[in-house]
Amino acid sequence: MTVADTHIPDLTRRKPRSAGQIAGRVALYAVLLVMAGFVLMPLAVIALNSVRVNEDILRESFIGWPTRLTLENWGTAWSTACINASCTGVKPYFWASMLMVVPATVISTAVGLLNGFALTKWRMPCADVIFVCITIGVFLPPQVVLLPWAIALSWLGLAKSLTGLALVHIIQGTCFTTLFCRNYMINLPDDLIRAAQIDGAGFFRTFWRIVLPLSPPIIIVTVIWQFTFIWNEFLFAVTFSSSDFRPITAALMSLNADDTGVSEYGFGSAAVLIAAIPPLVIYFLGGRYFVRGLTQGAVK
Amino acid sequence: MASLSIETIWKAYGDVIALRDINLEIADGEFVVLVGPSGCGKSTLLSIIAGLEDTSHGALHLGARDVTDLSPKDRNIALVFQSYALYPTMTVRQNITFGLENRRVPRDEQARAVAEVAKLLQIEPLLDRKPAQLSGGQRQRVAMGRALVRDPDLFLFDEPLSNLDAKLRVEMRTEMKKLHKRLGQTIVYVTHDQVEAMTLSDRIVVMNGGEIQQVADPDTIYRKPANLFVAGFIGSPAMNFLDVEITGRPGELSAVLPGPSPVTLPLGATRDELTPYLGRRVTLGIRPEHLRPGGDGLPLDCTVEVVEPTGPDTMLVLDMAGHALVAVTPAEYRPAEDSRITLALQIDEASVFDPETGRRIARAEEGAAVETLAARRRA
Ligand SMILES: Nc1ncnc2c1ncn2[C@@H]1O[C@H](COP(=O)(O)OP(=O)(O)OP(=O)(O)O)[C@@H](O)[C@H]1O
Ligand SMILES: [Mg+2]
Repeated sequence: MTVADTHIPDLTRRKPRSAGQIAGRVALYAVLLVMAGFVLMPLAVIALNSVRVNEDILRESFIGWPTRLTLENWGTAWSTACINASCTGVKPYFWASMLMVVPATVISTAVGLLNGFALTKWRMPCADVIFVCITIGVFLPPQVVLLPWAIALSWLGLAKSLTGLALVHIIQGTCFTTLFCRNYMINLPDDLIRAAQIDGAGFFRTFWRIVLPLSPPIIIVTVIWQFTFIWNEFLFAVTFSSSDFRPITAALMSLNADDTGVSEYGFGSAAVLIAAIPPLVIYFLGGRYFVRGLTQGAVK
Repeated sequence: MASLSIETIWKAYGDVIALRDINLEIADGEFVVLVGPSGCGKSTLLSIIAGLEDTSHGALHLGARDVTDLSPKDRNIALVFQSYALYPTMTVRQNITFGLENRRVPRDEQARAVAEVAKLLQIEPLLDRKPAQLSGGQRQRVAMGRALVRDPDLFLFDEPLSNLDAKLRVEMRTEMKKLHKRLGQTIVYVTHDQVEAMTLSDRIVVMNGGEIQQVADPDTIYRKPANLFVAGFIGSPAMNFLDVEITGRPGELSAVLPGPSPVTLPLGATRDELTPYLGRRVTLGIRPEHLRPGGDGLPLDCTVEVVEPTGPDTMLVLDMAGHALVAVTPAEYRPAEDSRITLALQIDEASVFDPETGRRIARAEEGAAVETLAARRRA
C-alpha cells in the first residue's frame, strides 16, 4: 500500500462536553475575570491618572477616563516635582535606589551561591546546624530586627547611609539567597564534585568552573527575588535614610505628603509608576526562568 | 604505574561499619576486580583509595609513598565513576583537559595529550561536543579519556560499564582488556557483572558485609571458592548446596543425603580430607554444569520439573528425593518435563564446606599447594 491510497480518517474528534460542564466553565471564567478586575483596578487607575491633567482629576473624579491626554506628569515626576522642598523630581532618588540595590543584589546573590555550595557539596562540619541558623533570618519579622540594626549601624558609623542600608539588605538577603541556593545545589550530582576533586580542583575552582555554570536557573531566581524585594522595601528604607541619601520608596511618601495644599494626583501617579518600572523590567527579562528555575530547585 | 598496598583498613560511618580489616596487596600492572553484593563496601573502598573518604583505621601505600592522609589531588590516582560524572557545561576537550589545567600543564602539552588520548579512544570527532550530545558508550569513553590523559599511578573504575546496553558492554569490555594489555596500568575495577569479573581480572576480590571473603585468580574463585558465600555468589545459575552426612569408614567414605528416602553417594578413597567429619554433616557444593546427562560420575535419579532452553544450553530444574537441584546441560539434551532421568554427578569437581564455619574443606592436594605457595612467599 502506498501513502497516496492510505485513507486518513477525520482526526478532529474531541471528548464531548455536557451542558453542565460548559456552564461550569463559563462560571469559572467569569469569576476569574472579576478577580483579575479587582487586582488590576488600582494599577489601571494610577496608569490613567498619570496621563490626565491634574485639574481634570480634581474637577471630575479620582477614578475616571482621561478627557485630555498629557505626558507632562511623567516629566514633572521625573525631574521637577518637589519633595521635601527640593524640587528635583524622583530622579536622584531613583538613582540612589539603583546604587544601593544593584550591589546589594549582586553581593547577596554571590554570598548565597558560595554558602549553598559550601553547605551541600563541601565537607563542612555542622553544615545542617549552620543552615538552620541562617534560615532563621528568613522567618524573623523586619520589625524585630529594626532596632538591633539601628544600633549596629551606628556602632559601625554607617547610620543613615547608602552603605549602611546596603549592608542591612546584603545580610538580611543572604538568608534568602542561601536558602534558595542550598536547596538548588543539594540536587547537583555529588559525583561531579568528587570528579573535580580527583582532577585536582580546590574549593573556589570547583565552584567557579563546575558549580557556577550549572547554576543560572537559581541565579536568575535569586536576582529577581533580591532585586524586587530590596527595591520595593519600605520599612528599612524609611528608617535608615536621610536627606543625603533616600531610596525611591521612602521619597514617594514625602511626595504624597506635599504641603502646598493641592493634591498632585497627576505626577504622583507618574512617580509611582516610575518607581515600579525596574522590578518589572527585571521580572520580564528573567520571568520565563523564574517559573522554570523554581521548579528546578524543587524537584530537580 | 605503581603497586598499591592496603593495610588493615577500617571505615565507620557513625555506628555503621562499612569496611572491616581490609588487607590487600596489588602488584604493579595488575588488574584486580572487586565484586560483592550491593552495599558490601566496594565503592567505599574505592573512595578511600582515591582519597575522597578518610580512613577510620589503617594505612595505604602507593608504590613507596604513604598516601593515607594525602588529598585526592596529591595521590595521582584516576577514578572513573559509574555515572561518568562528566562536567555537563564543558566540551569533551575541556572535560579531558580540566585535570591538566588544574595541574598547570602547559597549553601545548595539554593539546598533545588530548590528541593522543582521543586517538587511542577514537573520540576525535567528538572533542567539541557537550556530554549531553553523546551516546552512553561515547560518554564512557570520554570518562576513560579523562582518566587516561593524566597518566596516573593507579586507575579506579566504579562499575564503568553498568549503564551500557548488553552489546556495548561486551564491546567495551573487550576494549578495556585490550587497553590494559597495551598500557599495562594498575587497575582496581568494581563490578556487579560476574562475566566482567572473570574475563577482565588477574585476580578477583570477593567482598561481603565490608569484609574480604576471598582473593584469588578467577579460576580458583570459581572452582575452589573459599567459603559458602563465595560459592553461592559466583556462578550463574548458582551452585547447588546439599547438606549431607559423612558415613562409612576411613578410606571408604560415603555422603548420605538424609530424607524419607536417603540417597547415598559413595566417595571411595578420593575424599580423605573428610575423614575428620565422619558422623558429622557437611555441605556439598555442586555447580550446575557438573550434573551431566551421560558419561562417568555418580548416578543421581531425579525428576525433571522445569526445562528452560537458554540457547547455548538447557537449564533443568530438578527434584532429587525432595531436594531441589539445578543442572546446566548441552542444548540438544531435552528431557520431557515430569520424566525421571539419571544424571552423572562429577563428584571430583564438587566443593565441600564445613556448615558451622562456612569454610571450604580443602582437599589434600590443595592444602599442599597452598603450603608451597606460602613457603615460596616466605622464601
Ligand atoms: N556517607 C555514608 N554514611 C553512612 N553510611 C554509608 C555512607 N556511604 C556508604 N554507607 C554505607 O556503607 C555501606 C557500603 O556502601 P558502598 O557504597 O561502598 O556499597 P557498594 O558495595 O558500592 O554497593 P553498590 O554495589 O550498591 O554500589 C553501605 O551499607 C552503605 O549504606
Ligand atoms: Mg557502589
